[in-house]
Amino acid sequence: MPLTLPAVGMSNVGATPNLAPPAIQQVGIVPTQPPLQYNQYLPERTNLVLQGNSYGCILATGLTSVALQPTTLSDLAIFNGEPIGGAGSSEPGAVGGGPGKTYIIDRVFGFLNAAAAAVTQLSLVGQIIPAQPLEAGPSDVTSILRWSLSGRRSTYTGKAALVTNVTTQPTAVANKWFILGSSAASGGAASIGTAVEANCYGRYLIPPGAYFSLTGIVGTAVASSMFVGFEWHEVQLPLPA
Amino acid sequence: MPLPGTVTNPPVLGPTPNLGPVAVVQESIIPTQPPLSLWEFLPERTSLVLQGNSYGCVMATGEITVAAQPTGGAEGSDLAIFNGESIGPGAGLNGGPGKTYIIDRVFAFINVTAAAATQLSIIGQIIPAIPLEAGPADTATILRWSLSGRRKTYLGKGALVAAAAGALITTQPTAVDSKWFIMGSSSIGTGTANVGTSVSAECYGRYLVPPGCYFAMNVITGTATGAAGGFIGFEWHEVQLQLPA
Repeated sequence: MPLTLPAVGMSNVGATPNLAPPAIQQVGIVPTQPPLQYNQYLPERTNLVLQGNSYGCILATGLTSVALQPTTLSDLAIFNGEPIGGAGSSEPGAVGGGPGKTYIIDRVFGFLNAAAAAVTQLSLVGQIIPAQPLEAGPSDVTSILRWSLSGRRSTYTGKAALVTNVTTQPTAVANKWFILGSSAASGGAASIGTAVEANCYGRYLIPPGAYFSLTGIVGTAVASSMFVGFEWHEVQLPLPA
Repeated sequence: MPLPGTVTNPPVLGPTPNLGPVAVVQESIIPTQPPLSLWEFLPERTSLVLQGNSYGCVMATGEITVAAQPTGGAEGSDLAIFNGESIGPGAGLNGGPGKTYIIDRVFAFINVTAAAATQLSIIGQIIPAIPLEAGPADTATILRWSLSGRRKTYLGKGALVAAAAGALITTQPTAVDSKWFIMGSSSIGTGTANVGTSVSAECYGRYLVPPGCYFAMNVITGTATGAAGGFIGFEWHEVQLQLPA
């Protein structure tokens, strides 16, 4: 089939092949997409955020930073509370996803908001904790601040449970943390504003029943200084077995 | 195999589009509608900026940087944009007939020496549309430019607001305590002569500001700069998007 290209400013192009991923088309998102020319030209995340299911979150109060790789402690974690199916998996909810949406972790960040006693650095570590069959999720900590990336909703309408400063639900595994981004250092002992951002490019998928956990590491620990947060997209994905 | 530079008239729009460099050379003479092959070869933002509705802005005068996340009732911004496009059904929450602003890059730098070595971070906040709220007056002194270089003046309906000297914006927009998110990783100013310490953060079009909505920014430093020390700016695209319900 010949490829055609719409003139700039036209609304849509009929038989022009839809360039959206097939998996997205299956769940009915396509009809709300803007005209093809904007699909092609928009910045990388705009079409996805436009669907209205992209969010950000951050701790409302800082935590004591840790000066060592954590074992089971999560500064901030998200539990995917969408319905668990088990499609394509012999272990319900563990691999196959289900009818519920999968969370795509897209960006993480952290910063220090209290001064350390010395020059310090900040790193972020993350961990994916697979779905635990039959485990009920934790209660959502509503004080954790969250927002819509599309600016259209004043409240979070998804089914995630966000938790903070926990060692169970999720129970992280010692030494299984992976670094997110490169560390940032402070210019002096006045370390306020030392920050790390890491773009994840949708690399981490959290299917229903699974957790994503995030924690900061510093060289010099400070009470109430550590703020971490992340941004994610909620998309119904048919995960293969 | 033709020699490089040989014109062979490949079927650019045929069943198998020719994506090779020869096609680009041939079709680049079309002034307003490059062929598919050329579209694919352009840098990531070129086609969007080509539409003529992409802009950048920066504060004309610096602002004192803050040495902590803005909290405690003075949840202030240093620079913000209000989307003044017309609001449609849903009082802005569904977008409307007006254009949505896509925040694509943010940046900040220090232009006054601090008292000590310090670091610099950028924080941002999306403030959803407030139904029936009239937007703020535009601060015309905030510098702005077209990314396509085709316009001398800003023709959009965004209202840019900046803090008064030594102050913060605390209304229009009213940011939410502690709801700021980091944008980019921090940079260090080596020594006390930290002029030129800067941060730039690519947003990949992740933040959408529909009609009636605000996007606000501020910066954090370990050691507050003197007056007029911090400059903030950002780049955005104005696109009419069909926001789903």
